[in-house]
Amino acid sequence: MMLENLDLSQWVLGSIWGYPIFLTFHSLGLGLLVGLLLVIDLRVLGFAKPLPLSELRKLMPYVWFGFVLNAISGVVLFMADATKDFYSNSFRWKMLSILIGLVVAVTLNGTVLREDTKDTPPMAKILATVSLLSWVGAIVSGRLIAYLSQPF
Amino acid sequence: MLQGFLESLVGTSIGTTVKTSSWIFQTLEALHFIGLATLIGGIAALDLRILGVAKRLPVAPLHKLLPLVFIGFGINLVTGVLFFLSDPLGYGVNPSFQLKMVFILLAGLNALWFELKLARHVDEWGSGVDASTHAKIVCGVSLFLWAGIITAGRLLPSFAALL
Repeated sequence: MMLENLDLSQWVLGSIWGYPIFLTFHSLGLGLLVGLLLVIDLRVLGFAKPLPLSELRKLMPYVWFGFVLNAISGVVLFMADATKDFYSNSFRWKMLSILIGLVVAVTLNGTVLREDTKDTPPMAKILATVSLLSWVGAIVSGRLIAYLSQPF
Repeated sequence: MLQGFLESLVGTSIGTTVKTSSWIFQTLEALHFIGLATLIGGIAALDLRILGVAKRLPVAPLHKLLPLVFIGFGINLVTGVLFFLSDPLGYGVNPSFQLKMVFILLAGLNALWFELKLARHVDEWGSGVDASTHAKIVCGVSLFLWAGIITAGRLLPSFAALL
């Protein structure tokens, strides 16, 4: 695939530091993204009720920042290993999980997080559960890609 | 002396099991990431609020999320020890691993400082109330240390490859 032959891709895969640097950004982004969403999802599920939902919504920019960090580092990591990743089942599961997680996050952000009800409706709780499962799924399937393509 | 201690830990049956079974290793790694996300979620929400983000959040309920942090830390402590036992010599002399352990110790001391000196004030920092500068410094240090811990952990294999 052409992507793997770009000098950037060659550097990321060939140098000792390229891949690890972008993997580090990927881990930091995941900490922010999944960590903060976990707190928000737990609140939607009914934990820590003194935390107003509309205020937790103010944490979303940091969630998006984590997501963008991972999207960018993810693209670079993908470029270095494009063919293998593209055909990998783990990679496809990961992309699907991310898509679901993203749609759910945007939905929660636009609906439940705008209200200040103490108790969230059942649909919101279902969405929050799906959110947690999809991001855990993304982490697990992401780990399996790494297993299939260790760079050193 | 370190070498001797590390050598004595090589070859435990649990360490060998972790080292030789790739599916066990992958599972432990996935758990380590999930534990990381759980820990960071609890810590970051509190640290960011004290630093001034989403100020209408009262601090006390965020402080009550600490069990999340302990759960995440517990998962990572267990998985971490298992990783270590699979290759005590390899990890023990790895500078990135040593840095990670030092940072974890410092993060623990930092958290202890918060609990002993600042936790008494969390009820005062209600909705809209700015936390003290002292608290901001401690929480900023916390975020820095945890980012460093993740980074040092992520760079472990690179340093291993150099050794």
